[in-house]
Amino acid sequence: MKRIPAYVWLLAPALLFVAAMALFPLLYSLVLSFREWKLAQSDVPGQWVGLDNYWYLLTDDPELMESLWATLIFVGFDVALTVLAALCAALLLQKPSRMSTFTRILLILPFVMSPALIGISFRFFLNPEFGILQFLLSLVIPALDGRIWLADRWLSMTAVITSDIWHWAPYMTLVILGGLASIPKETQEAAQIDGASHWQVFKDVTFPQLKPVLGIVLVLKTVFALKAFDTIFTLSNGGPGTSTQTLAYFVYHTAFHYYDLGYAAAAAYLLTALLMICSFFYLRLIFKK
Amino acid sequence: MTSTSIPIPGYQPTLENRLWTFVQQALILLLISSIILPIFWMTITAFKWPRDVYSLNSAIWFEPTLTNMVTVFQHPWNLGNKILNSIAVASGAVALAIPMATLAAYAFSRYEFRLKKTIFLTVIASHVFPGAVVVLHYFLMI
Repeated sequence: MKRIPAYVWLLAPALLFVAAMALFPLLYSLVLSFREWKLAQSDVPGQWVGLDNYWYLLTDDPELMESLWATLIFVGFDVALTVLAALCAALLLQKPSRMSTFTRILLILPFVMSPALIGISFRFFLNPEFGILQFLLSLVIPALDGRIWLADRWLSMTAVITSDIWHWAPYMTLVILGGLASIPKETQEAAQIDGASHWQVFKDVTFPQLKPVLGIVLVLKTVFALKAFDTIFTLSNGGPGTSTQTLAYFVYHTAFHYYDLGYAAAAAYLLTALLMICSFFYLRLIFKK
Repeated sequence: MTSTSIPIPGYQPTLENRLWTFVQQALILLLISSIILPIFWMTITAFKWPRDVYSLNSAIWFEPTLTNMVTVFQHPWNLGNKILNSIAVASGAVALAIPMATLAAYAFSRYEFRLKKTIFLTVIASHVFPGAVVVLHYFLMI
């Protein structure tokens, strides 16, 4: 008998775990997505319906279309603003000083907080009667006075996006700061000595060298924004109506409120397809290095 | 903007430079307060009586109390049990994940074998799938 190489033993626990906890459920929901299974009617999977779930999902479900729009708006603004804010903050903090060291330590705080706690807190801050944020904002922008944030489709979306930015931007700042630190200082100094302005140094020297890190931050944040659930669930609960119901929330709602498991599995695979596209870009970025 | 300003002996910052430094520091302060204020607010709310929690009049000036700290450990909240649950979940996850990941990482970095890249991607990719896809199955297992 041939001796089993050591790497098999080393890999076995991790691979078995991944197979049991990720691959098997994935295949299982793939199978479910081709069947009809309304949990309210039956506790075993129903008949095979082929691609009917997907067909209905893509052609005949206004709720899904709204949900795709909400996802697009949420992910678009969330990713763009998070990365932009993180980049600005990182540029501000890269000059070593006592204040920036202190701020760097603070940056980890929002990230280590539970997303559910952030959602609940923002809900509390935005309460029309006793919410402190609602009160302060209506002092700055009088038009917001008396508006109920979570009852307005755009304000609610703004609140959800803001809370997610608050959660993620500080962490992304730390990542970009790491990227900035790895850029050789000589390149920036050389440009400065040659008479480049601050803006030119950033545009032509710092930014091109920062691109790989920014790319990774961008793709990672897109994946996390597509998966975002806890904050939306606790802050707006998908509402008002279905206006902040992103695809991840839609899957949850279909599965655990409508108990339509086959259909939810199909929707989940639609989300997975989107995530696969993002991951493809992410892996290309990583392996290019 | 960049950290590369080279110190020059006898260099006097111009008004414009000083203004720029001031703007930068103001922005950093803004950053600090946008992180700290929500956390501060959550923290002081923990020390308020219910009547002060639901009122803006006593937003900053309120009579502090420690009753919440006691209540939260009593029925039906039982925070003590929940902390134990969290510790159990977290230590269980760490105890399983770190040894498995260490072994696998060692294999990936020290050995060459067929399908190495594919296996590596499979392990990584399992992290990317949305919780919703796999949670259906967890739900059914229970």
